[in-house]
Amino acid sequence: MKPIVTVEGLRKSYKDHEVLKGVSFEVKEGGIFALLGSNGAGKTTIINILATLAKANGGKAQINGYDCFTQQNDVKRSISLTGQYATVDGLLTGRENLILIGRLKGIKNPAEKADELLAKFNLTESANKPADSYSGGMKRRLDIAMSLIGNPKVIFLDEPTTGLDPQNRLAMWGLVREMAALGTTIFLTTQYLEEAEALAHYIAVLDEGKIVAEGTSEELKELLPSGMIKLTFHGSELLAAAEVALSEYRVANINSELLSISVLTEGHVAELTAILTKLQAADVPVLKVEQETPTLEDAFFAIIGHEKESN
Amino acid sequence: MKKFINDVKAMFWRCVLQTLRNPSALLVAVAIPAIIMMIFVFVFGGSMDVGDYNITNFLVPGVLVNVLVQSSQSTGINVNQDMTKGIINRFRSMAIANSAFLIGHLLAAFIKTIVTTTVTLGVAFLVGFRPTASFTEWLIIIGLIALFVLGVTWFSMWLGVSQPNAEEVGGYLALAAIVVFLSPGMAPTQNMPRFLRYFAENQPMAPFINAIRALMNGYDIAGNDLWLTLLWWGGITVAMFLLTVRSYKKKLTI
Repeated sequence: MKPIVTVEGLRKSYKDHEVLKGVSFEVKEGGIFALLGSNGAGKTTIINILATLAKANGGKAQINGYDCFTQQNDVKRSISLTGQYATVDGLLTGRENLILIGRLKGIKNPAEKADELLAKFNLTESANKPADSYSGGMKRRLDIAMSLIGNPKVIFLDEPTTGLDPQNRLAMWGLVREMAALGTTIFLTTQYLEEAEALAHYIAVLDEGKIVAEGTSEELKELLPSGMIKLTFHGSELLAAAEVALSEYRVANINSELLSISVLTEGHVAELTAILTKLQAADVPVLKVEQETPTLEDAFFAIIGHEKESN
Repeated sequence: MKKFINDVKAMFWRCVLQTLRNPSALLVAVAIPAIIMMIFVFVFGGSMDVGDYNITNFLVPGVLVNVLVQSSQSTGINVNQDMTKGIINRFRSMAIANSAFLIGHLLAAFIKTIVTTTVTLGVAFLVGFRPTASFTEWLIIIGLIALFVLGVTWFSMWLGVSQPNAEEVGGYLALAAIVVFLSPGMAPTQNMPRFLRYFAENQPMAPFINAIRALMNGYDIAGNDLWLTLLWWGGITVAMFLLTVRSYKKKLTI
């Protein structure tokens, strides 16, 4: 299938800080695409460039066949953007918010469309109350409803579940799946691997301005290392010393409370011996050695090379 | 062009609703003018020597300037909230002209001003305002007020676009509303200390206040007050408009 979003060698710097260092990926039409990355990885910058809000310093970006830099109005007509924070007008009622967007998009019956969406998103009861009085989940629903007006080809959702409680998060997942079922392409960003895995048909992992891995969640799982060894130590000095001694290994997890470090392996026994020999040579006594099964989350953190503190 | 007018109409509709939904903006636009008018006439007016003028006739221009500056606060604050709370990004991701947003706020501010002016003059009539201006003079008065409002509104919008939060916008406009006390608007300038008197008689609000006061009371406009008003407020409008547009463009570059 033809890609609906194409990004090639995208670069963006703010003053001396290089946020995007040549990002390339494609999004196929239909389905849900997730851009996965930690805070500050550059996710919002990519969305801002694709939605024509920000200019790139280099590279190419196309949506629906239109160039994001030279055909901005055509791009704008093909997309809708829901920002990181619910961007509704708090003084206007839910209904008025929808009518406003309908009028700005130039659709035929803004009021009719508003009522239809209010019913669909379970907001009819609060339709005539100011949006400021809505709960976080209701605001998000209204925000999404506003995004659907004008039948955009691609809907950008920038961290749609950030700040939502678990119940609303699940409800949002349901909404995202429903939207995708209508045939619209959903482009979402998230910090949560779990969310990308649950929703997306295709995932691209962004880290420090570069795509470090991409594929379906099954494909990403194949990148999983086959083994993981968890080593526990007597004290935090020893843990730090072990971290240095094992610097050439892929570390999935360091837990400073349990004084443990999890090292990814290929599953060979020889690797265990090598690790223990390394520690012995560095004069780091090991309290406990455990064999563990790595999860996709471990793989993610191993891929982006960040140490993760967990409890 | 048709799409542009449609967008401006939608933005205008939104900004009017915002004003109607904001109790403090309504208070500032409607109740405060009435209260200030009455305070000045009944509390201070009795102990003021304003020469040939009936006290209300003397105070109307100054009070009007004060309440118009105050009522422009909510415009700047609304602009500021739109800019800082992310809704501007939703608008920008849609195929609408960036200017429609500012024009919508400007038009809504004008509607608010008409209400504020009407209430102020209405209350003034009740407490003794007896203007003698002819129809033509009233037309000139309305024209001058419109120009003044244009300048003040762009000033407010500039603050709204450029300041980091609503508190700063409100603070600067409150300051501007106080500056009217250092003018011929609220008390005769003869008794002020020399430096203050110099400021009071030469600050941009002074020729405007003098001009509409003379027109309302059937006097000839003294000296250059009319031209100074046009020059000052035409200049302020152009300057604030340019500053707003520059700051707006800068903020939109991300």
